[in-house]
Amino acid sequence: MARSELVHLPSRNPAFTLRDGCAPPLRSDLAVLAPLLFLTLALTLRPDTAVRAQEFPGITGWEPVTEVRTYFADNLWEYINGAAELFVSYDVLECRTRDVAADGIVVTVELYDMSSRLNAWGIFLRERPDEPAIPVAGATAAVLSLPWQGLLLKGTYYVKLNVVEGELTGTSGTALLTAVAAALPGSPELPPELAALPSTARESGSEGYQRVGFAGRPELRQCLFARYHLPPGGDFTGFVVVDTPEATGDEVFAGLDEGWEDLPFPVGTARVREIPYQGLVGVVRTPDGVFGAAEAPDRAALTARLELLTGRSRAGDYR
Amino acid sequence: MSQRKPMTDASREPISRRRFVQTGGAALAGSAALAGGAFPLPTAADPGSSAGASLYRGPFDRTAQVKAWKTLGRTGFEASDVGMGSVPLRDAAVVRYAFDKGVNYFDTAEGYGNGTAERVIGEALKDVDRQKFFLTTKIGVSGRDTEETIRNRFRSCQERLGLDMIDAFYMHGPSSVEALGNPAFHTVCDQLKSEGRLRFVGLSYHGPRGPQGTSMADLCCAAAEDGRFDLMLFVYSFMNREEGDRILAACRERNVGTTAMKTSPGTFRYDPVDPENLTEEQQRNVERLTSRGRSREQAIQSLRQQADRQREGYEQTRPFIERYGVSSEEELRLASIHWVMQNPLMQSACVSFTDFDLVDKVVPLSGEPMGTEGRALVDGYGRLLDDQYCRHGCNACSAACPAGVPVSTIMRYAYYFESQGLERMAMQKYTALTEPDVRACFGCEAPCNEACPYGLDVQSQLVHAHARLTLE
Repeated sequence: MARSELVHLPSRNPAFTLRDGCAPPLRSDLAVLAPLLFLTLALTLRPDTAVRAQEFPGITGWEPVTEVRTYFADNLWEYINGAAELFVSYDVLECRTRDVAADGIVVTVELYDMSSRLNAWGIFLRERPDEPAIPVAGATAAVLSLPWQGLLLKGTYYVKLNVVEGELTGTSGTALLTAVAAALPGSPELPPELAALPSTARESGSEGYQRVGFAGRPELRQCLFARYHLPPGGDFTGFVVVDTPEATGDEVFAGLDEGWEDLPFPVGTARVREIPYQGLVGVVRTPDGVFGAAEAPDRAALTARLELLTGRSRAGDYR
Repeated sequence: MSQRKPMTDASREPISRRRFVQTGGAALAGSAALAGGAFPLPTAADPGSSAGASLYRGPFDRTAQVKAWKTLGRTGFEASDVGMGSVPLRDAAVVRYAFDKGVNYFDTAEGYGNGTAERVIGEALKDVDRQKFFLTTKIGVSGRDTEETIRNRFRSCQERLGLDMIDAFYMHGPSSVEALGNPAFHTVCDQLKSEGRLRFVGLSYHGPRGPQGTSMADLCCAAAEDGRFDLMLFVYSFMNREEGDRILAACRERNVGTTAMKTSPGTFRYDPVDPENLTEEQQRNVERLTSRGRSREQAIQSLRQQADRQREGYEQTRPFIERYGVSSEEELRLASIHWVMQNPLMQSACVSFTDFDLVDKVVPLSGEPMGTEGRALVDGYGRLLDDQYCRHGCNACSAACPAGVPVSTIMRYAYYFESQGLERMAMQKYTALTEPDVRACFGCEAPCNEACPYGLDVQSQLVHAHARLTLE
């Protein structure tokens, strides 16, 4: 539709009022300027998001067999039903999907732009199956669940490959994941926020990111977590409340009010509360960040866990 | 949190149309809060309300237990009036907490967290007497699925749940009425039943995936009449009451179990825009917009346009706000859930319990009739929005349009423009429409307004959307 076609509309159109800040009614003295105005607006307000949404990266060796479909947070349910809730909880920006085919295999490629690398990483870990990660050039991480599915993480993108015809093998699956990784923009590095998670005594591979509702507490948001070993007290989940564009760690800490109690602690300010079936969770704010520990049977154990995390924080040996 | 003001006699009068608008407008006003006051909510004076405490405002009774159960259609299971959805689930402890509060209906799906939700529920309930809870899971079924693939997927669901027997296996979001009869799905379900691995079959439907799709009511009613579906999970709230009630009636006729999702529709807020002092949310929106190519000035302008529209509604409702103060999103959410729970035909309202607090807030609603004023609040809000809100999953007006204007699609684009801050994308989508656009409506006298079951002035809204989406 040519933009100029949209200029000459019936003057009785009730939309041509000042209601809600719309443009004023078109009058003859403005009619000449309107096309120019429109052209100017069309150029200056070029809908980058929409243009981008219509694009789909070419995947070497695979031919597209369907049109691109694009979904946003408010209508993602149209595509994946209730599963959309999890994506919304990780701040999904958009999902683009299309089917591609090669050698008798048809795969639905779902590209989820998760707004940030941290969100993408978090939901990837939430959804990844038990299978071990496989090395894929250009990707942050990838997993194959043969013969039906592949998952890939790169930059702000979380990608799901769902087989709809045929079966993926290890070879074809890895090749497809590699091709997808090569087609996507962004850094294959892990989210930089991970550097805030103390590394000493940390169980490798146990890391994760919970954007909302960590430990079943709505006020515990933006939590990077991992399992830690603290002999002889046992394992526990330690976490760091990271800064995001939505809130700083300090701001999240400030929200630990109702139901939380002060916890004496040698450094900074600490709060504690009980979690049903899971013991105590404690959070401490220090100059180095906001750290927390969960699943403590009592305050002494909790304090020891927080000391482990913050002690290494003060020493700075994990950064 | 502010305390509720004492109710005046006037606040207890039957709510009028004007007060409906004021009430709803107060909710619309959201964060443009004036301190103090509240909506008239159920109090100790209301029949059935918890003594001395609002059901929606708190303090919440953390010792409360489920108090009402309803027979889940022909399954015969006595389900708690509040059920548990599981989409964003991570913590098994939250599931167990809900169960220990009396929730005994759990809904999940293979696609929720790519199977994670099933694992979490399985872990949470592994030591529980199997007779004490009802568990459903679901899969999306396409024409490409075979008996083998469906059987394999069911087996995977079982493995993740750690259960030998699943109470109900749902067909998740079929594409059409015809898809309800997928022979592979029903053959496998029959086999699983005979093997003792499955008891019942269900249907879950959010609404059509496109403007020409089958409406939720049409599809769910067809499923009820089909006879092979023992249970139904569908969108139900005061916002789609008419459509939902039609489904409930069909289910009652066939003794099909009824469960609800999306029980608490969204809310609205008003935040003035001060470029030098943006709220956190506004700042975040600006950053999002600028990260995708807009200038800061354009982003601020976008925020201002939204705020202007919201302020208009706020100003209209200000007298009521000043009299009663404002409600909160949470109060509206709980009232909405309560509205669904108290419908005798809706047997279990599924709520995504993402945390312990939400369990503590919803469970006390169980078995409590809505107080007269609480009901008025929800009804008033629903009626206010009845004539402003184009519901997805409806499409009732499409048959009335001789030009084939994709009404729902255009309304969605307008929503992107007005509520999502995605002006450019919305305009681009509108321009790229392959179907006739709103210009086909000018001079048209087709009865689209009359066709809208919610009383929307369809033509005016379309023209308004057109103006937005073309910057005219």
